[in-house]
Amino acid sequence: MKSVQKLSTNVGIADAFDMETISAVQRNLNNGNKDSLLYVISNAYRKADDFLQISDRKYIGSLVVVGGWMESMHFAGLLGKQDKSPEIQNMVGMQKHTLNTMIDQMLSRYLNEPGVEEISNYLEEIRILFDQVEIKYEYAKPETDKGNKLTKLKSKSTVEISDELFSQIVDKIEEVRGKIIK
Amino acid sequence: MKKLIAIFSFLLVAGVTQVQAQCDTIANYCHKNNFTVNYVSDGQNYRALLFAEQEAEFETTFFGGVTYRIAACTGFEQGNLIFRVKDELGNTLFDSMDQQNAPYWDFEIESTITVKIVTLLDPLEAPSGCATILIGFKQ
Repeated sequence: MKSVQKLSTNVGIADAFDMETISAVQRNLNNGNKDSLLYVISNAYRKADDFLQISDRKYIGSLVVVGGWMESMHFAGLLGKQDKSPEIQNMVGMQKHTLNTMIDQMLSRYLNEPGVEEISNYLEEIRILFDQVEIKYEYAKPETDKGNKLTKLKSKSTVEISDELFSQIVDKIEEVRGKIIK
Repeated sequence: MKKLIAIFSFLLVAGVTQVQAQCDTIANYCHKNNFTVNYVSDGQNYRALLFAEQEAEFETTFFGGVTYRIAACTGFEQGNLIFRVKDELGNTLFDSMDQQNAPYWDFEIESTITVKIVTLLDPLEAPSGCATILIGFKQ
């Protein structure tokens, strides 16, 4: 929690992670209350994002998103290697879309801001591997339940990612993460 | 001349700040009226200032096994913003116009897919406005 406070102060979003929020996170962590934890963190993220947008420092928000993605991929990669779970491999493979969006639609807007081009180049290194992941989409007619205001989306995406490619992606993530946090 | 530029700049900044504040208020209204405690926001406001027949498009990934709620607002009346969910091939998976401009709708996802959410103003209700989309997922 101290690290969260220190980092948020360094990037100028300490108000989003005030004592009340930190206490709520700590309390829900201790109680194992994942739903409330998610709720508190989502609200804090929204506050931080609003603040960065208003104060004209959107590029910091984009770097926060990349940082969060990198950490999620780091943990997913560790789990996937350990469990050899096809489900985790598929989830990692699906991140091809997210990676492309981060590079082409998010970071590309802020390349002149400090540190953004460097991070974008790191992500390009990861993208070379993700380009080999095949995602096939198949349309299926959705089913709508008007009474419950619910639509079931039945279309399917399938990911083709070999064990070897998955391993290469995880290793590359570790390499890039190492460069960022050093 | 310098004075004029300064006044114009001030008015421009004040205008942008006012629009930003209005969008924030709409997002809060939208959240309060369309999200229940069992839905957690993804933490983002998808917003765009729209005029007449303009459309805004937001891309997102829906993960398999999750139920999402999309809420759409502009102004402080429900149902003024139309939203459509389209797949990567351009097929319309959902259109709120088919559901009497429902301000929110839930989506149960079988398999992880990337979708586009297209929003536009209801021409009969609002000539311009801050289009705000909120996405939440069921706990």
